[in-house]
Amino acid sequence: MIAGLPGTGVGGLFYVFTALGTPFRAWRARRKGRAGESALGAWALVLMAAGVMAAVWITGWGVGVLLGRPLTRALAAIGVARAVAAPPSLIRTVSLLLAVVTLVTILAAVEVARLVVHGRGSGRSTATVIAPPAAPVPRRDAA
Amino acid sequence: MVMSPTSAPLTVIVPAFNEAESLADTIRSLEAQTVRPREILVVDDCSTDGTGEVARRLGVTVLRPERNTGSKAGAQTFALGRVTTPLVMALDADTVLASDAIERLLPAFDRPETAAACGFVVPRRVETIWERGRYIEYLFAFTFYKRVQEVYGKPLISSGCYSMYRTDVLRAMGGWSNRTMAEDMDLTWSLYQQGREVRFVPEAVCYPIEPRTFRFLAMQLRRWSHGFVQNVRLHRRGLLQVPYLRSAVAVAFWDALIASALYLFVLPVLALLLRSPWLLLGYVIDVPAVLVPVLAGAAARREVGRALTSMPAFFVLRTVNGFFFLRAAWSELFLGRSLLVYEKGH
Repeated sequence: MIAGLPGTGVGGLFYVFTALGTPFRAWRARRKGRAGESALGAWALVLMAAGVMAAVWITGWGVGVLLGRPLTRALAAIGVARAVAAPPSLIRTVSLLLAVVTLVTILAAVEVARLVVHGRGSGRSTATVIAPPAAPVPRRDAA
Repeated sequence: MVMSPTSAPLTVIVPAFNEAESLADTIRSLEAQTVRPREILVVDDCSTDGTGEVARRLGVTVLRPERNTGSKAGAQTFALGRVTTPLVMALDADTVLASDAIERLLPAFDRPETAAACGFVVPRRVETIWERGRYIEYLFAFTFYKRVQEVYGKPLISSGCYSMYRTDVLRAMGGWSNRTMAEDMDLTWSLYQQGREVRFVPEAVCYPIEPRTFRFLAMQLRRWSHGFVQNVRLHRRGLLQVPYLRSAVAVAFWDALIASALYLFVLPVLALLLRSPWLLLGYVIDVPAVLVPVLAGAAARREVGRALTSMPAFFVLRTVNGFFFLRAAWSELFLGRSLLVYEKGH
């Protein structure tokens, strides 16, 4: 199964950033005897991440050019913005910045939550919260 | 000289509920392995379509519980008591393996810390819009996300359709749990919380049948979405103790919520309010970014043409995914209605 929605938003950004650290992680894993991704494989991931970043950058330009003018015209029409012409790079910069800030906020929130939970001395799983059905429920077959 | 295949100290459990159509291919793919399992156990979970007969004709052991176990997890755990080998594999009855899949996965267990290992998943049929969307989804996730997760030692899920486990570890955990709709995610996260290792081996490839129709897709997505939310709720505190995994789950959950809301509500409303249809480009704005890993994965499989023609389907499927996730999150977290009935959706 797949968790989340691949390719979108901060999830993609998270994997791009963490992919940049894979050569170091792979080297460390090999030193610990955990033969996983080879050095070449780790650098291939870095290359892939660089490719994704380049694609995002190019898309940013494209979006700026395509959307910059109509968007600001629409905003001007409803009185949100005064100027009709907007620099194409503005959307790219703002959206990227927003995504990075969102990602950092999520990661920081997780770390704060960990500290709070750990501080209470309760790092145990909450795996008993959901009770299984008392008896097996016959599964439904759509066929 | 033709070399006869060696065998591994491995038992394969194939849970099957009305799988007469696909089961034979699964068993044949196991028998064609370069390294064969010592035993194949098919759990005929009270099927009514002759699933047990198909398995018996192919000479494998068939177990049939007195009554339907209620889930794939239940059927697999039913068979676990019969396993006598140190390694056990769960394989869906609609999934076939590449001929070297077992051989490729076995070395992951050279390390005693490894408790589970999984491989690369590619849909067997890529014809309908839903199969095509899933094909791209898998190519993207298994070529990029999952390989990064592996380097950090935390593959998010040891896929339920094809995973190998250390038998004693699995037994000590009570087998596969049916407390959530995503037993594979539950087991993987529980293993991490016990300090065990899970591995992803991209060279070990399996080919499941993915939903061909929206009806089957809906049942599968409903199960997956509810399963994800149930697992996040179930493991929320334990997850915080697992580095990298906690971050990966947090961003996956955020994306599933926010991107879904964006696709289903924000984009169309903004496009209407601002009278700018260009905003609808937001649905496909990340085409270039998605294309990079997809084409890398497709090129390695010499399937670039298939990947390019399947790309539009991915964006349709992603929006549908968003709908099912929001509905599951609303139902589980706000209405307190947990999905408890396992609906088979392939």
